[in-house]
Amino acid sequence: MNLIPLLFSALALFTLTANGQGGPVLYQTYCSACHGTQGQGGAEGAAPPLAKSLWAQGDPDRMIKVVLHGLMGEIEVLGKEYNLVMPPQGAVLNDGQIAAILTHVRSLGNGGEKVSTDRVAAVRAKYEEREAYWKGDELLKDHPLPSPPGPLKNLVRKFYALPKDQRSMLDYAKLEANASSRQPNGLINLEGYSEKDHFGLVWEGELNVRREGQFSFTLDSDDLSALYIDDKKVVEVSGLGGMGRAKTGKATLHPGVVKVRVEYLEFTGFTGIAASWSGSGIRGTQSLSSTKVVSNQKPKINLIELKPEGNRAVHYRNFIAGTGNRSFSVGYPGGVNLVFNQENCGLELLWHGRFFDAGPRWKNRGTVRSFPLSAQVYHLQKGSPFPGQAFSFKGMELDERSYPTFHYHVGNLTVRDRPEPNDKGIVRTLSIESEGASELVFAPINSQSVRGLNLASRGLTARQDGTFLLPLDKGDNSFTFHYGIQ
Amino acid sequence: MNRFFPIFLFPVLLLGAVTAWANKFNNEALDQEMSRYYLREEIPMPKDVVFEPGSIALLPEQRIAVGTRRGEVWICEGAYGDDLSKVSWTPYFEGLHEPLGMYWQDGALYYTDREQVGRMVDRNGDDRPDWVETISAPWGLTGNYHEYAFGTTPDPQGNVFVTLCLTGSFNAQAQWRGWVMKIAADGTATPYASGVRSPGGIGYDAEGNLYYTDNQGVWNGTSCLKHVVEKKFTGCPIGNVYYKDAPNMGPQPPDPINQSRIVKERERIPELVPPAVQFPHGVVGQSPTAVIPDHTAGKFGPFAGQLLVGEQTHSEVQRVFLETVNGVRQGAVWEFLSGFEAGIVPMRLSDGGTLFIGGTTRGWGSRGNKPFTFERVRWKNVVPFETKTMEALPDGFRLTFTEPVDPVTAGDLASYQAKAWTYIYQKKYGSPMVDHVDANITSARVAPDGLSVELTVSPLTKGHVHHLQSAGVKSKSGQPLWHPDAYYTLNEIPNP
Repeated sequence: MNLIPLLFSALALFTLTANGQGGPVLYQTYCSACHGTQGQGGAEGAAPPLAKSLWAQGDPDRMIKVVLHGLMGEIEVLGKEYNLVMPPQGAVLNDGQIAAILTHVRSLGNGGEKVSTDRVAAVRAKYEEREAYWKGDELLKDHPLPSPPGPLKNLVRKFYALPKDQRSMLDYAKLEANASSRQPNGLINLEGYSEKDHFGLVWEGELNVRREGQFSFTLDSDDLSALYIDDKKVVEVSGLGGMGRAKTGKATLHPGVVKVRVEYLEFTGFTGIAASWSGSGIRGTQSLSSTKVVSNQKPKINLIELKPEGNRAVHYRNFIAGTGNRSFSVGYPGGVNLVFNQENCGLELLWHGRFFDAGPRWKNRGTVRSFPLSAQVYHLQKGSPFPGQAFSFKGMELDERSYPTFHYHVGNLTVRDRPEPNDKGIVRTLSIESEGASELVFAPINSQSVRGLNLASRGLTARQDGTFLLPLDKGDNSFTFHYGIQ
Repeated sequence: MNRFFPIFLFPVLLLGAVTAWANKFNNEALDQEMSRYYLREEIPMPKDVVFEPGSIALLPEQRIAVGTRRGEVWICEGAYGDDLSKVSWTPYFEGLHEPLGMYWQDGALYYTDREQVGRMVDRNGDDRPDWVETISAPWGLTGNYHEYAFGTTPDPQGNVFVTLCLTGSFNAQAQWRGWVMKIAADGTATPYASGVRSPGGIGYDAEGNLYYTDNQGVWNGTSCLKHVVEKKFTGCPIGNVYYKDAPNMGPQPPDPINQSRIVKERERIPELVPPAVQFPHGVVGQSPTAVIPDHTAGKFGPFAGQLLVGEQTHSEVQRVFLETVNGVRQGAVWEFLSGFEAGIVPMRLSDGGTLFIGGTTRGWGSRGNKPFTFERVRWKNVVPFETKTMEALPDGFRLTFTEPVDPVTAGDLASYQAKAWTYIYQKKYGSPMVDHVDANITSARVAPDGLSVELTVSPLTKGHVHHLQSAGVKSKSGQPLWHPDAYYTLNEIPNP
């Protein structure tokens, strides 16, 4: 049997759909290369998934805005961080096409609710003048991600107005609540109160324990909070202070329903509460609050560490924090590292220890500058080390170990600049070829804040302003500077 | 567990699944047909290295240098051989800044990277450079990731041309962003042409004319191949603030009027050179990259003298035919090679007809779903039945074919369909297809040798992309065209 004609007629059918602006076909044409044919996301994290994503659920205006005007910067999708650019499609696709595409995306495990052409048209009209890309937090402020119902059943939240001097936890049982409301979303949240000062909240609800075992409860708050299971305190966050002070407590629980009570007190300023639990029968950690508990252990490790290998120096050229945009970075065996900025012929950064993290430049599009992997980096230069002189960079000579000698011109002088690492830092030799007798002002360090660095030169003394006057004869002249960085 | 499968979703899901499957089938069918004419092979890459090719240089003795987006340069041996398992790699250097242009000349490896045009020289023959020279670094940088620089091979006078992406692809905060610069062999830099937005590659045609690819975005309705003419403007006015520093360029041209058409603005702005060929977005790729001519005089198939253009998102190679009409370069694009493993960025074609392509997917998605790839394509000496050229006539188009056509189908008007449209020339990002025109094919005259057909097309619309589908045309041996769809950008209509 020949299937081919059948297959081609299937193709013809879908070509027809494309002419009729069918969502699936439009999606394949405009979106699938980056977001995957099934909305599963691009290879190598090229673009976030759209299938089963909260971003594609709930308020459709969030997605409409992204498609119309684009999205730039950091966002989190399905627990993974992205920092990319979604180009705006508002000038390419009409309202009907966008509605069809988004309706298709909604069908990819996102609840299937249709997006209407009118809705797209309304958002387009409202933001007619907008040219800027949206930022993730800007979108989420107006269109928060829908939160799936939390695990707390029969949750009730009580509000207590407190006196202005109330800074410590109190016995809420003795107070009368000013307000009380059911919380059908099953999550501890501050909705309606996050801008207020001097108040208390108490949440009471039930958790279903499936299996016997030990459970961990983690709590974080701004300011005070405590969590009780069946009226026994399991964990508390004491003292005034901000989020980021998460505490964990343990409780052994039996299968069945347990009572959960969380008490909270806000003095002034920022507010926040987050709680979670983990243990038998729970996959990973389950959040008990609309704000997720953030681990105190930061930062995230996303390192691509560059190191010299064997007796060879390692070279790195990229956009580096703390120097110009045309710089040579060299990491020597033994742990001395430097950055030479070819835009001003200056030795700008010097440090001992680990070389560079290239991760910020070599992941995704590389939107962040690379930084040296050391807390103590000496910033030696600001501007040119040859004040008042015209200079031009020529190139870099490399020896068999890949150690560089930088070549440049200062005025009509030819300079070879050779840093050589040793266990105390570097010995820097300037070899200057002059056509006649003259002198040159050189500032081996011209930034003010270089504490702990020793500079010495054989046979030369620094002048009051820190510069050196280099006497030049016709022919080759050599000067040596020791930079001690231990 | 969800007990109630949402039955109402089923037809939508089915449609989606079938569409994806149909697309997949379509792509696979094309790949399969390609394998009759061209052999695509993955070349083993250095082990445990994030390779991400950004530039390729062909060296003497069948050696190849590949520059990666991480700034490494590797030398490859064995990539021309029949047994690719014998390919070996030597690390050459690791300190470039995302080189996107590289060539070999007189014992030196020349490169264009984000920061400069430079060269590396290995004087002692240990396959490591001992001299890394900055030849020219005339453009500005703010440190933005979009500040890419693509460089050519040298022209006969030794000049290298560099096309400079706008900062963030939207602004010209740093000097010469949005320009093409000419870098002479002695390092002298001269602003050469304005109007660049976000290039993906730069190169020459077989006659030495210069082109770069520019991606859909602001002031660029759809991705295109732009002809670079000295002292002219290719369309995006954002970088034009630097005319103040470019006395050789003459006065700054007036800015285009927003939401106009290129054909209209050409009347107002004499410096404006229209895109030689527009690539309809999503239809013929959506991120064009490398530009190289087929200079092999037939060793890479029957398209000698034409241009090959890389495509990042669709992991393809397009084929472009160009001609000059009323002094303006224009022509047609066809989809050509497909199925590559990652998004294509650099390409080089050897004199002997081996096409080397490098692919990287990082930061930008592609159909090929590997993170990076290095591949080669060779012609199998089997001529595909294709439209070889599409030339504009005063009243239609002349098609030539790679083999004689069946005069009955080629002479039948029903074998052809023609449509035309253009794009809005605007500061917004991209453009829909607009100003649609249904063109009628009123006659099809087959040449006695069967190698060409003259079509009368009415109307022809100046400035429009003309999509000609020749799905009914068969070769003498009964084959349909491998790629029946051609897209001709009719900047100018020839005079009768």
